[in-house]
Amino acid sequence: MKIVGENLSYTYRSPYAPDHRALDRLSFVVRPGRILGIVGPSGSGKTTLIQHFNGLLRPGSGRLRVGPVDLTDPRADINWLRRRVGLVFQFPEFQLFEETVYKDVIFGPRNLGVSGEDLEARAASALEWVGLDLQKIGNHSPFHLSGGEKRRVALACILAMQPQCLILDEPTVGLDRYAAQRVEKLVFQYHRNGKTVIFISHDMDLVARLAQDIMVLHKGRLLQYGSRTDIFLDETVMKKASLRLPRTVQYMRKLRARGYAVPLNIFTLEKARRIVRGLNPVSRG
Amino acid sequence: MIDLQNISYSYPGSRTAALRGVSFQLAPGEKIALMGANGSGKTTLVRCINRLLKPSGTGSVDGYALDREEDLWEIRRRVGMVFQNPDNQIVATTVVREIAFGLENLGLGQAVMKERVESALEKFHLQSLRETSPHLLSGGERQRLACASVWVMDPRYLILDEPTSLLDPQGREEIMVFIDQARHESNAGVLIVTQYPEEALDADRLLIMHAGRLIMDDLPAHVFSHERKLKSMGLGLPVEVELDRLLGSTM
Repeated sequence: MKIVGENLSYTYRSPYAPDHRALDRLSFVVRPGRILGIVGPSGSGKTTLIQHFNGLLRPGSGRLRVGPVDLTDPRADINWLRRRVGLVFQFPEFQLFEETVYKDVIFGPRNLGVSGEDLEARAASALEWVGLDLQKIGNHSPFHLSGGEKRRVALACILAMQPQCLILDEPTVGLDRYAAQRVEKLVFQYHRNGKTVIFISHDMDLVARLAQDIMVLHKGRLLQYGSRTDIFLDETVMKKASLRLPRTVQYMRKLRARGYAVPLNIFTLEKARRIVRGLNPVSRG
Repeated sequence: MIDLQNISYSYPGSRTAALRGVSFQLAPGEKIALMGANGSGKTTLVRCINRLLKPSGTGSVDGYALDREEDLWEIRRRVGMVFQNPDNQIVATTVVREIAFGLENLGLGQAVMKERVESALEKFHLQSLRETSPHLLSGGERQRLACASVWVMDPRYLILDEPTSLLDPQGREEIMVFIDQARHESNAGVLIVTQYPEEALDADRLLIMHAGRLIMDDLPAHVFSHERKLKSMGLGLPVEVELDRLLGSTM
């Protein structure tokens, strides 16, 4: 699903606080089938932006098209959009509310008019996506699961809607390494299915591992948008947005400083290990 | 000194114990990091330290006993807590009232109180937000407010449960500066729970929890030398430590 913003702006207005321009004339194209990471300091507009993508917020000015839907048009079919763009908030497990995991997972699809056996099939496949078994866990209360399991059930609730585009706000915060790796794997699998995935994170190691493209926001403006290599090797942008380099890139820099001729665009630990294993005194140059 | 001996705890209605015979000590000026997988008992342990939960076993804070009701007030004054999600600890309607909230119970004079609140506002860069409602603050600002409310009480010990995971790098840096200052200026003892092994590197000791037990309590470098054991528990090494080790064995 292609997403096109043209001079997109949004201002929060409150009787208790001065107007706050959260998005300031953003122009961008999110290509379908990509994994996009949105990064930037707190208050740079990341969450405000993704809330536009499924119509929770409407553009203050400028234009936004998500697939065929023009969000600027007051008659835009928001329901159509919400069926296709799944938005997972921070700590989505706080939104679980049903007596059983099964009831929580079918809540969305049932509202979409899915019924009977289809409903059960949806729940089973959504839970399978997140590595859980409907037969085993379906009748459990979601509140008695571990933190990592709850997060995965909450993700399954969104996946059961079978969205074309999956959007996640800080998907791995609070999860341990093992649980976080499961969520990462899920994002990759979902993407391999031809779907668009967009996520927000402050964890540059996660962004480096997951994102193909990166959008950098700073004070509501689009500072830079490009491939992860373009962004992470652009010192000006990294500095301006106070972003930390991924640790693997930091390590490659350290190796370079010691005289090893290694590439800098190494974004996963596996690749970094391969580089280090391949080093020998000869590659000192 | 925080001294816990043989602490166990089971949540009501749960058949498995969340904590099983945990013992450890935290001295003033010391920084301890605590790691463990989700569900290993880290947060439960943290909640026992100032008796938000009532464990079995014995424990004391500067000689005040955890199981004596009349000591609780003194313990809670000495032990400042900061949680992952500051929303769970913010209660007042404005920033300035939130910071003053705890102090009001200490029976200080108005002038002293005002001075402490003002210096907290300044220290945590919250002056311009003093009359703002906490729920209008950003995540980073809310975490700064939570820290300011703890700092203003001048606690002897700081217990922080994944305080930085929602923060951007700048916010994270501010919290780390706050922790270091508390240690060096007030000689506070610090216990920080973290998922990031990098945050444990500069600690005096690193504690590892697994299935409710404390299974390691050692220098971070020693703990990280048990790579296999850590990975079997779903924990990782700092990227730099892991790659340095590989580099050492390759060369």
